[in-house]
Amino acid sequence: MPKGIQKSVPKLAIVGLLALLAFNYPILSLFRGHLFSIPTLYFGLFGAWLLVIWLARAAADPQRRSTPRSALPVEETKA
Amino acid sequence: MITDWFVGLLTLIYLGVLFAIARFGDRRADAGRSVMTSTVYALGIAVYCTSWTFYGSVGRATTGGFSFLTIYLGPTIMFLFAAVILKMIRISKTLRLTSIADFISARYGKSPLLAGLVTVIAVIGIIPYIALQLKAISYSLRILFPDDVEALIPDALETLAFMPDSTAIIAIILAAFTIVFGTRHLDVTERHEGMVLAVAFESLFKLVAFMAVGVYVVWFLNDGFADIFMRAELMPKIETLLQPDSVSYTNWFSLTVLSGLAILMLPRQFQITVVENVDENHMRRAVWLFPLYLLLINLFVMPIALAGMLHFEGKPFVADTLVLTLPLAEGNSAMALLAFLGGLSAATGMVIVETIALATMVSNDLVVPFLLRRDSEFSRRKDLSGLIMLIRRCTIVFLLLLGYLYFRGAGEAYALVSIGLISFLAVAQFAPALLGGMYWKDGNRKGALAGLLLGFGIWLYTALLPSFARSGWIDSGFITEGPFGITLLAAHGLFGLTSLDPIAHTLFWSMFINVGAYFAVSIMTRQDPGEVATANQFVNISTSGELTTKIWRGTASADALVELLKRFLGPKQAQSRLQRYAKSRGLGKIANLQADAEFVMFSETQLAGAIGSASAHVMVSSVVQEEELGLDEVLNILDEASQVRAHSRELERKSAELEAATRDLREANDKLLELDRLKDDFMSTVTHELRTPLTSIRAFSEMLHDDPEMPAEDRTRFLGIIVGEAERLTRLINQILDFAKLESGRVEWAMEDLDLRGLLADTAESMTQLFRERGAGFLLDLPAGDEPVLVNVDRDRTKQVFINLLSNAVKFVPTEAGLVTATLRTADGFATVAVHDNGPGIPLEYQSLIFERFRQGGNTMTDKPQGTGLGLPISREIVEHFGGKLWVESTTGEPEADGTPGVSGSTFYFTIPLAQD
Repeated sequence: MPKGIQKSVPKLAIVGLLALLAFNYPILSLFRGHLFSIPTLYFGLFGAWLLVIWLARAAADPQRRSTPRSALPVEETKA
Repeated sequence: MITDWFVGLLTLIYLGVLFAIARFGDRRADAGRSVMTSTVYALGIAVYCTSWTFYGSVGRATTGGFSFLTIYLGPTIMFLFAAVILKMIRISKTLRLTSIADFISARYGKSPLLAGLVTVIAVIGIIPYIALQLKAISYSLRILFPDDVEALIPDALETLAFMPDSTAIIAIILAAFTIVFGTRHLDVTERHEGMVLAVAFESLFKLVAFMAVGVYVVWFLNDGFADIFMRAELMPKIETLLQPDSVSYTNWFSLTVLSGLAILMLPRQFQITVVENVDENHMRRAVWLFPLYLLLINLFVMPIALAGMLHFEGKPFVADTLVLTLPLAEGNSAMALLAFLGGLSAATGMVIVETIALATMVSNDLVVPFLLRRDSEFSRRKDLSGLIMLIRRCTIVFLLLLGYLYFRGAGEAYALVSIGLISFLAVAQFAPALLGGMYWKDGNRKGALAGLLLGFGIWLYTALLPSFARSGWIDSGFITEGPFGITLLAAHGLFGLTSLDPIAHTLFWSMFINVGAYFAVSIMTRQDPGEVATANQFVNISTSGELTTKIWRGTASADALVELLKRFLGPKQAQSRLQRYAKSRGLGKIANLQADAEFVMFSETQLAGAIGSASAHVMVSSVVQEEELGLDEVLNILDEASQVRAHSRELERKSAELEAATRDLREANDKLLELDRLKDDFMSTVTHELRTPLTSIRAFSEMLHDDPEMPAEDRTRFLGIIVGEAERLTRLINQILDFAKLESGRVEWAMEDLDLRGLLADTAESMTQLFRERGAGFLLDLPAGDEPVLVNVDRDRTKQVFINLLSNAVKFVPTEAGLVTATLRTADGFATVAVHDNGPGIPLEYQSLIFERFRQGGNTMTDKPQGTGLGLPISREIVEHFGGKLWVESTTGEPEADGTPGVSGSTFYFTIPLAQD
C-alpha cells in the first residue's frame, strides 16, 4: 500500500503529461496577439505554468484545512 | 556613488552570514533538531538557478524571446514525474550511493571503469560551468568599478606580488566554506544540513534580489508591464519576437527535454535532490514549490530585458548584465548592490554544491581507486579515514583552482559564455545508462559504456570543439564545412542535418547514438554474473529486499571485515556503527558477529558511503574469498526467488479457488439434504396414502373370506366398497406416476394450437353427470361473440387441469344450492379461466399449502380424505409448463363488521398465454 508521496505519483504524472502538452506546439501557437497591450503568449505561458503548479500542489501536498489533527485519534478510539 | 570598501565589506558580510547559517544548521543537526524541512529542501533544489539564470536569462530574452523559459519548463515537467526521482532516492538510500557516478557504476556491477568515465565526463562538462560562475562574479565587480577592477583589495595590498585578484579571494572563501561544511563527515550519506540550509538561504536571497530589481524596473523606472511591452514593440523586430510564430518548436521542445534531463543528471542537483534528501515525503512540497520558484524568478525577465533595450536604445550595451547596469544607469546604487549580491548568491550557491558533488566523485572514483591499486603503502595504512578526508578536501581546492584557471584562461571566449547549455548536454549523456538501468533489467555494463563513450564523443565533436573554435582556439572550418571538406561530417550539420540549431543538433545525435548503442550492445552481449544481482535490485528496489545477500557466496573472516571498516571509517565511527549493527541483529557484541553474507553486504554498503560503491566492492573483495558464481547460478538464484514469489501467488490463487469451490459444495450439499428430506416426506406420505385404501380393501376382503354365510346384500355392498377403494388406489398410483413424470420432465407433450372456448365447452359437457349427482348447478361463462381463443397447449393435459378444478369445486359445494361457475376471459395476451364455487372457502393459511403434494384443505387426520392430494400440484405443473399460472382466491365467509353474513367461496384461476399468430 503506497503511502505519502507515493500515493500522489500517478496523479502527478497526469499533470506532467498535461504540462508536456500545454508547453509545446500546437497549444503554444494559439497564444497570438495581445491582451491588455501585453503579448498573449506572456499570459499563456505563465498562466499555464501557474495552473500546473496549482494542480501539482493539490495532487501532492493537499493543505489540511483548519481541521485540528488531534481530532483523528479521538475518532480512532471510538472505532 | 558606490564606495569600494563598502562593497567589499558587504561581500564579506554576506559570505559571513552564509558561514553563520551553515554553522547554525550543523549545530541544530548535531543536537538532533534537524532544520531540513520540506521547504528548505525545495529551496535547496533551486540551486539549479545559477548566475547563468540571474544574469543570462535577460540576455537570452533580448535575442530569443520567450525561449529562455524552456530551461525552467523542462525541470517543472520532470518534477511532475516524481516517480523517477523517488526511485533514485530510494535506490541511493538503500545502497548508500553518494554521487551520480556511484549510482551508474553500482547499477552495472559496481564497475570502477564506468564510475571513472562518468566522473571524467562530469568534470570536463562542469568545470567550465564553475568557471562561468566565477566569471559572473568578476564581471559584476567590473561593472560596479569600471575604473579599478580590483577596487575591493586595498591598494597597499595590491602591490604585493602574491596578492590574488578579488574573484580568486571569493573562490578561496568558497573553497573554505565547502571544506568546512561539505566534508564534515567522511561518509557522504551523512547529510550536510548546514550547507543545504545556507544554499536554501542563497536561493531565497537571489529570488528576492531579482524580484526587487524586477519590481523596481517595471513600476519605478516604467509604468508597469503594459507600458514596457507597448513601447518595446515599437522597436524593430520586437513585436514578432514576442509572438508564438517566432518560436522554433523543435528547438523549444529540444531545450525542454534537455533541461528536464539536466535537472536529474547535473551533479549538484543529484547531490541536493537525492543525497541530501532526508525524507522522501519532502518531495510533496518540492514538486510544486520548486516550479513556483522557477516561475517567480522568471516573471520579470522579459520586462527587464525589454526595459533595458528601451533604455539603451541606439547605444551599445551588454544584454547579459542588464540586471546590474539598469539600476546603475539610473543611479540607484542600493538596487545595484542588491543585484550584485543576488548574482553573488546565485554563483556561490552553485559553486559550493557542484564542488562538493564533483569532489566526491573525483576522490571516490578516480583518486582512491588509483591509490588503492598503485600504492601498496597506501593500502597498508592502519587508519585511512583521515587520509581519505584529506584527499577529498584537496580535490575541492583542486577543482576550484581548475575552474578559476579556466576562467582566467578562457576569459571572454565564447567557449565560456555558451557553456551553460553545453554542460547540460554533457550531463544528459548519463540519462540512458541511468534511467535505462532503473527500469530495464537487461541493460548491461558494456551497453552503458558504449552509449556513454559514443554520446560523449558526439558531444565533444559537435558541442565542445565548436565552442573552442568559435573562441578562436582552433580552426573553425570543421563546423560547417566538415573536416577535410567532408560536409557530411560538419560538426553543426552531422550527416547533412542542418535544420536544427546547434544545441538541438547535438542533443538529437548524441542521444540517438547513445540510446541506440546502449540498447543495441545490451541486447547483443550478456550481463556479467556480478551485474545481474544489482540490476535486479535497481529495477525492483521496492520489492527486492534481501535478494543481494542470496547472491553472495564465499568465505570471510569477521575480524578482517571489522578491520577493514576501522581502516576506512576511522576506529570510532566503525565501532559505533558495528555496535548498532550487532544490536540490530540481536547479537549484542561485535565479537559475536559472524562473517555471513549479510555482514559482508553491510560492510560493503558502509564503505560505499565513504569511498564509493566501486572501491568498496574492491576493498571488501580483497579480504573475503568470494566464490565466483557463474552467470547461470546467479540467474538460477534470481529465478528461484522470482519462482518462489510466483509460487506463492499461485498458491494464493488456488486457495481462493478452493474456498469458492467449498462454498459451492456446501450450498449444493444443503440443497441435496433438503431434497432428501422432501423425498422422505414424499415417500412416507405416499405409503400412508396407499395404505388407507389397501387397509379397507383387505378388511372387507377378510370379512368376505371369513364369513361365507354373509347375506348377499351385505356381500354386494362390501364388494362395492372394495371396487371403489381399488379404483381410488389405481387413481392414486396413476397420479403419483403422472406427477413423478411431470417433475422429472419426461412427459411427452403434444402441443397444438386449439380453441380454448371449444375445449372448455366439451369438457364441461362431459362433467354434467357429476354435477347432477351432487345436485349442484353449473354455469359456463364464455366471452361474447364466437371468436376462437387460440392457445398453444396439449389438449388432454389442459382438459385434465380443467376437470381437476371442476371436480374439486363440486366436491366442496354445499349439498343444497351448490353452484359452480367457470369463466373464460382474455386480457394482456393471456387467457384466464376462473372456476368459482360457493363452498366453505379455504382459510388463508391453507391457500398456499393446498398446492403442495398430498396436502388437502381441512384436517387430514380426522376428515375422510376426499382426493389424492396430487390434483392441484399436477395442475400447477401443467399450467406452468404452458407458461401460465395457477392460483386461488378464497373467502371463508366471516361475518362483516356490520353483522351481515359474509359470502364464502373459492375461485381457482389459471392463465395460459394466447397463441402468437
